[in-house]
Amino acid sequence: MLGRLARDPWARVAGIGLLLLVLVAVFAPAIAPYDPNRQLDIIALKDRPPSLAHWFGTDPYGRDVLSRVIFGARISLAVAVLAVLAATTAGLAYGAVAGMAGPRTDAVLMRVLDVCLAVPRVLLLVAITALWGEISLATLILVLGLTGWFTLGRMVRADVRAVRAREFVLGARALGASPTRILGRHVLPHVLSTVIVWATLDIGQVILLEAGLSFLGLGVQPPTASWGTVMQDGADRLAGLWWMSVFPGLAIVLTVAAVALLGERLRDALDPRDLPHR
Amino acid sequence: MTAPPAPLLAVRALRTTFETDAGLAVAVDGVSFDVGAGEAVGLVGESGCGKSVTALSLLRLVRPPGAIDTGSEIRFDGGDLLALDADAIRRVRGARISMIFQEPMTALNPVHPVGDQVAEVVRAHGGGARDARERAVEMLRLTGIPDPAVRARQYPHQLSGGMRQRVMIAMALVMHPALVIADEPTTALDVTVQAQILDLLADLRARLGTALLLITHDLGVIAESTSRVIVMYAGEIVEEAPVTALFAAPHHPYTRGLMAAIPRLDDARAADGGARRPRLADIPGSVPPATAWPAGCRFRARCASAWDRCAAEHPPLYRVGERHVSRCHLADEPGRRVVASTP
Repeated sequence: MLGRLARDPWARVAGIGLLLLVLVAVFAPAIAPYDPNRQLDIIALKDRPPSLAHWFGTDPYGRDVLSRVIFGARISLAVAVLAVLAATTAGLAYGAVAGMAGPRTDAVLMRVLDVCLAVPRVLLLVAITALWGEISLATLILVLGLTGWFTLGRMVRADVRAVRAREFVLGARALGASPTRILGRHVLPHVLSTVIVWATLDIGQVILLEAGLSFLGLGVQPPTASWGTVMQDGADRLAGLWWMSVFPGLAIVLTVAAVALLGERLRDALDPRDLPHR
Repeated sequence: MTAPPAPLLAVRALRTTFETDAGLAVAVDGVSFDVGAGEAVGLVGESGCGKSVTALSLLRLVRPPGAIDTGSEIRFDGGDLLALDADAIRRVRGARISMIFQEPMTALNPVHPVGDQVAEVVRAHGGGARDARERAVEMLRLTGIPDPAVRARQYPHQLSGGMRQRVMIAMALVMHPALVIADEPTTALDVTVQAQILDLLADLRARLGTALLLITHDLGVIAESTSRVIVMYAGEIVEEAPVTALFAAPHHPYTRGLMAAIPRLDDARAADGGARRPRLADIPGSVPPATAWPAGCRFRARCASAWDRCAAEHPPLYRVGERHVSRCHLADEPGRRVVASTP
């Protein structure tokens, strides 16, 4: 089924693009032309538009924007991947518990989820980060992850319920399989495709959210570079310092598009019979 | 002469109910029967008569809103199955009593190779991985699957219906249980494959000394593979007899109706004469809802012989012959039987 994905030209383009991006992030110190946090020359290299020496221009503090975008990829990607990992763990655990539980426990857990889902994620994020005070990267990852798993929890719970009603689960019970065995051998493999596709699609969303929060000054804190903070640094003169928003913006758009494309194709490639219709 | 040995399985006053929006559905209502060690017993009845719920109750697989009433008793090999805790009943399932399901396509997990699924039963009962794999292949060989080591690595969708049912049988028998409950094991199969599967079950039973409780709506299957028959209707046993006695002299009007509803080859031959094929007999009406069993005889509304006593008095199981019982007042007043005129 992953072979089908590898033969899909669009998925290939997206996959290779993301791979390159990851490589760039990993090898940022070797690739970036300058130290992203060094103020090169506060007088001569302040607010310079793109040039041969500084492809993406420089910012109001005299830092090289290209280097900051390259280093920003590290932060933006790491935050997104770790936050989605946290969200996936939480959603999978909550959904599996609700799905395997009796009708009463399930009902309580689902009503709790309804309440969580009723609050817009952005509002929740802004409220939490604004009230938190000093935000470390770990806090940011945790907050992004723990506000993002509600839909997954609901999907996993529905999948678990559906699989549990299938006859081979009754068969496994009739032949002496314990609940944990049933969960591990029979239920989770059927939920996995849903989880993988959801996680892929959510990475794109979290990249956007992180950028948005950082842009508002509620996410990654200066001087650390992330795509959001680079844009923030040029925010008070958006038209004058166009390179400060266009290049990190482009990085965000391309990354999110590639991730979304890959997620869509992944969903098509994984057995469609096992995926709930959405 | 010594006293007869205690039966392998003794079910007494089994009552299984389901909470529904329409009220309490009594799917199984006071069922009592025995299965001896190595014996093959048939359980017959139409859809909704409670035979499958009876089977699920035996292994305590009924889930809420369903529940087994506290007055019920299921004794197996001297122990009380209803008294076991969750872990103990789990150890009985598959190892001492196992089950074969009707539809092997849905009863096998599509994402695992079939050999793994047989091995999984051994592993669930504490077997090591290598041992489980070897026993799985050996069991698949016993079920007559050619090239079992190769087939073991295939997925359910790569096997034919008959092969899949053989895999199910391998799963049910790999732990050499004392009793196998087979719920319509051949209903989803072609007629020729049905016969092969029934032969296989009989052969393996003889070899392993396994008792069988065969649940079906097909009296032909019963005649072929069991020695004793229990007929259920509306949650109750209505007739029980050795298979020869039942076919020679069915007593309950419901059993008679079931037998008349079996298509016969000589009827078809009569059609060759060109005149007219006799219409296949049916039983008018359907099973009443389990939320509201009628008082008196539950078959009354569909019975040609019914009279006022059938409405007033719930018939007990009358003894009508050697090891032959029937829940019909006709045993008391045989003169009242109305025999349907044959066309």
